[in-house]
Amino acid sequence: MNENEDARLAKAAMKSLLVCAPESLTADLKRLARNRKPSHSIWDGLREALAGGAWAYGAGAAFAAAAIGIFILRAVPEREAATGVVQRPARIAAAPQALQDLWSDDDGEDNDEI
Amino acid sequence: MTRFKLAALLALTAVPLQAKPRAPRPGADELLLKTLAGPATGYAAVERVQVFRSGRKPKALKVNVVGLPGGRRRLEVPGKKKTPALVQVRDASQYEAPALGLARLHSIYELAVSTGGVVAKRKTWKISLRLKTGALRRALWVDRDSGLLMKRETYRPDGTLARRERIVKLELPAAIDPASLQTPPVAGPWMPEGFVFTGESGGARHYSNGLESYELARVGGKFAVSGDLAEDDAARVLESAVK
Repeated sequence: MNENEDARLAKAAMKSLLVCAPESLTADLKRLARNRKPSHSIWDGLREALAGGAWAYGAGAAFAAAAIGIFILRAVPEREAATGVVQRPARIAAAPQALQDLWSDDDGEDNDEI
Repeated sequence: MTRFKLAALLALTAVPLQAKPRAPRPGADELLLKTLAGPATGYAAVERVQVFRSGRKPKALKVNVVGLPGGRRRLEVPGKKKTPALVQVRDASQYEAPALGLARLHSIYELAVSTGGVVAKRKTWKISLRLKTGALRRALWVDRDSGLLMKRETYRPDGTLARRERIVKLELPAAIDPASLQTPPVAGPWMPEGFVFTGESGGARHYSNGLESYELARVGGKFAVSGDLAEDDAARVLESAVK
C-alpha cells in the first residue's frame, strides 16, 4: 500500500466521521478549519499581485504614476514665498486709475481738429 | 462741322490736356521705409487716439506730439491742470532700423497701397495690412510728401474697428528744440506708444495705457505676449524682450 492510498483512506475515514458526527462537532471542525486558514490582508494581496507576473508589474507602475500625477496636479498650488497662493494673472490686468482717467467719452467721429 | 460743334470739341479735348498728371502710386515697401524712418524735418502735431470697445461708448484721448528727424518723438498727454498727465520720449532709431520693421510687417501681413484721401490737410497714401488669411488687420494713412504716419486704424478679427490714431492738426516743418526730447531711454522691452509698465505678478509683466493692456510672460523658457496688441506690435515686443 503506497502513500496515495493511505491519504485516500484517511480522507474517506474523515468524511465518514463527519457524516456520522453530530452537528455540533461538524460546526466545531469547520470553525477550527476557518481559524487555521491564514489571514489575507490587502498588503498580502498587493504583494501577491506584484509577484504574479509581468502584467502585474505594469499595472502597479501605471497605478503609481497616475496617483503621483493626480497628487501633483491637485495638491501643489502655485506659491510665492511671502504671500502664499498667487492668483493667475487675468488676461487684462486692471489699469491704474490715473491711466484710466486720461480717457474721456468720444463720439467716434473721424475728422480733423477745427 | 458747325462753328459750335468745333468749339465744343476743342473745349473737351482741352480738359484732359490741362489736368494735372496723377501722382504715380509708390510701392508699399518704399512708402513704409519712408514712414518708419520718419520725416526729414521737425514737426509738431496734435493726435487723437480713439478706442472702440464692443458694446460700449468709444473713448478718446488727445496727445501733443513733437518729432525730430531720425525718429525721436515726444508724446505728451495733457492733464487736467497745467502739468502734463503723461510724457513719453521715444527714439525709434534706438530700437531698430526701418528695414527690420519692414521685414517684420512682411512676415505677418500682405501689403497693398491705394489712394488715401486727405488727413489734416495733407494728401495721403493708404496702406492696407492684411493677415495671410485675408483679414484686414490694419490700415495706415501716410503723408505723400514727408512719409509721416497721419492715421492708423486697427481692426478686430470680425472686421470691426478697434482703434484709430489720427493726426488732427499738423505743423510740418516745425522748429523743435532738441532739448525738449532729452530723456534717458526707458529700460526694458519695447512698448507701443502710450503704454506704460504697470506691475509684475505671477511671473508676468503687465503694461497698460488705461484702456488696453497686455502682458509679457516667460512660459517654459520662452517669452509670450497676450492682450490687446496687433500681431506686428506683439512680435516687436517679443523680439525686444528676447534681446
